[in-house]
Parts: sequence; structure tokens; C-alpha cells
Amino acid sequence: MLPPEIVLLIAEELDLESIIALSQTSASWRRLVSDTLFQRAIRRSCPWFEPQFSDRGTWKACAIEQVRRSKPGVDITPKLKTVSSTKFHESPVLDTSFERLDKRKIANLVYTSEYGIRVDLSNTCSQDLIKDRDLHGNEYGYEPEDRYDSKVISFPHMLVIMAVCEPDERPEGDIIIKFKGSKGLQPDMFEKCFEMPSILTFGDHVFLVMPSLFSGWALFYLVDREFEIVAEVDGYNESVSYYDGLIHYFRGGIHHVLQPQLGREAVSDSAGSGSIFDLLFLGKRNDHWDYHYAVVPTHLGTYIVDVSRGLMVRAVEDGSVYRVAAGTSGETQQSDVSQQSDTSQQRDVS
Amino acid sequence: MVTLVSSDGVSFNVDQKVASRSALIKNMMEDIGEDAGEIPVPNVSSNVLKKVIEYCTYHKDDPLPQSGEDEGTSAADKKKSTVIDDWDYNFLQVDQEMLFEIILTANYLDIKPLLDVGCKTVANMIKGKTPEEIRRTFNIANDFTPEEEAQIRRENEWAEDR
Repeated sequence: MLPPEIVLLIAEELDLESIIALSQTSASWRRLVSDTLFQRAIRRSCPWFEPQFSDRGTWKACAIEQVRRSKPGVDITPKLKTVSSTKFHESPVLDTSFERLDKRKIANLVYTSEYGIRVDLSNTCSQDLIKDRDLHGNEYGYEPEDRYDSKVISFPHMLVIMAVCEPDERPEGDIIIKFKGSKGLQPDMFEKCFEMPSILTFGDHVFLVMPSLFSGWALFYLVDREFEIVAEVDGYNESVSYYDGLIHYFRGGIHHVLQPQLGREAVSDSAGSGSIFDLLFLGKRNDHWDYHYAVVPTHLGTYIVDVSRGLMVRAVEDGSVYRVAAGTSGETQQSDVSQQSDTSQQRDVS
Repeated sequence: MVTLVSSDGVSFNVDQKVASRSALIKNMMEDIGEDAGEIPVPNVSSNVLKKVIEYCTYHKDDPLPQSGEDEGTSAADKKKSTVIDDWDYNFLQVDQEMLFEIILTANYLDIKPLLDVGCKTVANMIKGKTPEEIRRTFNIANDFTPEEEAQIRRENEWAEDR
């Protein structure tokens, strides 16, 4: 029998399914193949599948589920159930607003984040925006629409700036990323974008949702400060969220699920997709919020979906903030959507 | 020349360059000096030591692996090739007991390339196999208790359905 440190070295060479098989050979091998081995194997293949972002108690359970779902014919799409606000229990406040690239925070084109990460924006199109601001000025009440404005998404470990070239035109621009502790002021990552990307983060995990120039979008995952492509999907998406090893996205009110894996060919649009309703696209796209929620527009109004519990509930929008609509019942009752959207528009303009 | 003495008392005269493939012996020789004389290798029997010396002799001119390098941390390391070269492959076509002994000796004598290639060989024998096939490959007895058997059946429900 080999000592644990050697078993560890052998397991480094194995895929999840082989490690599971090894753990099922004998009692002593079962003990030798520890949960740490599964953790390390998951880091190599699907690092986002952490027990703390799932219902599973161990890394081994995550590994088994990842393998189970990768078998042909397995339907990986959890069913969603519409519930009333009281049965939904949680009251998430999904704030889709973001920090704007404010001139006051930029000295000599160096932006400093609230976590002290600094980045030089002089080679990016941020200057155009600042010129534009100088020309129009926010004080004239000129407030570009959110999706046409530059954004700052600030984390303790990294800073993401999405700079839009021509705020009035289609959202085309640059994505600039700077990591905490990286030397100098130059961006660690700098990409031209023809559509503005979104990001999805939880724990140390960063997914980048990048719309392509033609149609569709690609999903990238950040590994060792580089984005690796893990999925390519046709068509648009309205909302992307994550739970339990699966990427959920919504398109035209239809729920889709992807199970990507590192080091493999990027997965394309999943075959197993369950319909919420057969609906029209109302066109909203989120940028960054709690990873397991999604805001899904439907012709019956907007819903908040919690993919971790497979529940959906009617939502109200207030500005760019979404909440559970109070006092709404489940799917049977038709609630008055138009009235709710009317009140939500009476916001403070001053 | 240094003399390595196996656990069953067999002496092997080897070039210092060959013996230096083992980081453990290399350090020992540096500590003791030129006239190291006999170095006992108490955990290793003569048939295994002979094999390991064969490996070290063939690879005596390879560049030494960087010491103190953290394994598997950078992306490049992770993507390192899992290909085993022909000579090493043939060298490790031995019975399973000998393979494990070679791995243990490489670990004990700190011969990292041999340890790596040994572990890769074992991994290749496991890859893509069912638990039953792995048991046959390595002569592992299925000694699970009924409780463990039930637990494993639950883990594999997906496999049995299809």
C-alpha cells in the first residue's frame, strides 16, 4: 500500500471520475482518497464547484455530481417553481446600479479604487468619456442610461473598469482589469469590446460574460489572472447566475443551464433547457449582483429567480433596484404588473 | 565512486554523478565529503536498488530538476505534459509490486523525475477504469463492509440507472 503523500501525487494525474473509481475499490483506498484529493481535482477541472456555493457538504459530493451530470442523457436543468412572496421567504435587494467612472476619482488619468487598487487609464477610451463629461457635465442633468455608461466594479482583490467610448452610441469600449498587488499602474488586462461585458463573481471566482460582435456570447473563467473560455452560446442572454456547479442563464424568459469544465472544449448551448413561460424578450441585462439570483423579464412582468432553491417570485423595480413584490401570490393569481411599474417610476429626480 | 549498500547487504559501486540523481545521497556526499565510502540504503532491497541505479545511470546527464520549485502552482506546471518517454515507459513495465517499490524508493531517495514518472504510470493504469477493473489491475481485495457497499451504491446510482 502506498503512503498518502504518494497517493496524492498519483491523484494529481487523474480526472474526477477515475478518483471516484479509485475510492470505490477497497476500504483502505477509500480512506486514502481523502476529501482534499477531491478538492484539488475540482480545482483543476471545475474550481467554481465549491461546497459553500452548493447544497453539498463535501468536495467528493461535488465531484460525484459533476461526473453524474456529464453523462449523456442526464437532464441538468433544475425545475423552477413560481411561489408567492411569503413562500419565497428571502427578500433580496438586487441593485443593478454601479459606480460610474467619476472624473473626481481620476487624477492624471489614474483611477484609485476604494480598496486602494490604482490603474492608469491613459491608453483606454476613458478619456473620451471624460471629455464628454467636460462638454456636457452632469450638472446639466445629462445622465446617460446605465448600459451606455462606463462602469467601475470594485473588489478587494481586483478592479474592473468598463469604459464606454461613445456613450450616445451602442455600448462599445474597453474592459480594464487590475489586480491587487500587481506592480505598476498599467492594466493587467485590457481588451477592446464591441459590446460591453458583464461579470459574475462569488468567493474568489470570476466569470466574464462577453457578448460577441456577431451573435451570442462567450463565458470566460479567470484562472491565474487569465481568462479561459469555458462556454459559447448563441443568442443573447438577459441574466446569468450560478449555483451548485451550474451556470444558469435566461433568454426570452427561458431557463438554460450550462455545465462548463476547464481544460475541455468550451460547452455550447445546453440541450436540456426547461421553459418558464414561452415569452417575449423585454430586454434587460444585469451586470453584477448576488450570484444565485437572476432577474428575468417575462410578458407577465419581471421575476426574481433564486437558482439555489429553484424558486421564482414576482419582482418590482425601483430605479435599477429589484425587490420581491410584496403580497404577491403564486402563479394562479394575476397580479397587476402595470400598476406596480407605475409606482416604481415615481422616483426622486432632484 | 560511492558504494550503496541495500537492506539485504548487497553493495553497488556507482559513479558520484549517477548517485547524485538522488538529492538525498547528493546532500549526504556534500556533507561527508569525497571519501563518503559506504552509504547504507536501509529501506531498499537489492533488486529494487539495482533497478533504481539503472534509471539513474541512464539519466545521469539530464539537467537536474530545480530544487525548491513549488509543484503545480503555476498554469504552466498544471498543463505540463503527461507523456512518458519510451525508455522510461519500458523501464517501468514491471510487476505492480516492483512499480510501487520503485516509487517508494524514488520518494525516499528524493529522485523527483523518477517519482513523477512512476506516479504517472500508476495513474495511467487507473484512468478510465471501473473500480472492479482497478481491483484486478492492482490485486486489490474488495473488503467493504455492507454499510460501505450501500454508500457506494448511492454514490453510483447514476451509473446503474443507465
